[in-house]
Amino acid sequence: MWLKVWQTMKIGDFIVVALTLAFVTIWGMSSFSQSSKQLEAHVFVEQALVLTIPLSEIEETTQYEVAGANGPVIIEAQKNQVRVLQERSPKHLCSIQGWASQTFLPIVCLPNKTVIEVVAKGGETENEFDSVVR
Amino acid sequence: MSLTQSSDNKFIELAKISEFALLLAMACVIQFFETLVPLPIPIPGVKIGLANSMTILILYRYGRKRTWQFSFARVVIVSLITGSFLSVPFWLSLCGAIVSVGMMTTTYRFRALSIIGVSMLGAIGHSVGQIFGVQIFLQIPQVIIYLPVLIVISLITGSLIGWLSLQLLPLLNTKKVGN
Repeated sequence: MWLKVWQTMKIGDFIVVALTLAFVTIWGMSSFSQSSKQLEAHVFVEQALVLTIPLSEIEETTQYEVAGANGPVIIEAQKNQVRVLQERSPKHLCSIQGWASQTFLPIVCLPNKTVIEVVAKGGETENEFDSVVR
Repeated sequence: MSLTQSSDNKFIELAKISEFALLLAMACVIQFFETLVPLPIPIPGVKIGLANSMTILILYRYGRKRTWQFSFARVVIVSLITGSFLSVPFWLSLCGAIVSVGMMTTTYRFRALSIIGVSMLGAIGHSVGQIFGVQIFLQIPQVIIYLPVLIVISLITGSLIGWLSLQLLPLLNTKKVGN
């Protein structure tokens, strides 16, 4: 079937695919370049940073609890990775997502208005210096 | 205009309205069932978008104006069925539909683009619109990091839906209406 799709496509379609993939690759690479640094997880509830987990420094599996919009959200962290263990939501998408260890893929629980973002440690400080240089 | 011509025109108009209503009903049913069967991809907003094939059929059969009407009616009807009218999922769906239909109606006359390209742009537009909606209505700026993943999935689903629409379009493109 994909061959038929391929044969039906015109030059403009291929340009759309190429431009989109180029955009996604550049975006992905810029995010991926941060993943090799020391990692920490930032947990936001309704845009407010409520918890910071130093992922690179964790030796044993540790559990944390934050108050989401729908109830408690249980977060589990291991060395360089974090996941949502338990939460109250209709589809449990953020629990199903499992471990997050990359800076370009956060865990988002919309019903709980909770976001867990994996970030490179000290990234914000570097940005501040950049703005001073400019 | 003779009496026969006038009668024929009325009949064709009725046939068009019936076809529009039929496609709208099919789109609503497909979209409703799609919400009941989640894909095994744990990212909010990911779906195949089968109902969009009906929107594409309307676009290529009736043009821009009817497509806007069709898409808006679909969002409202499905939200009434699911009980989410005027709540956050409704607004997210509306944002997705506006950007999606906007992109498709702008590009569908481009000769360099096939129906598959238009469908891909529609799918990408839907993802962009929904992420934009999350920023406005839920104010979770981190969700934008999902956008590259959603865009790649949109390319795949969009091309499939475009191909499906291409297969369906000739079935509707018959001049013989009725007996």
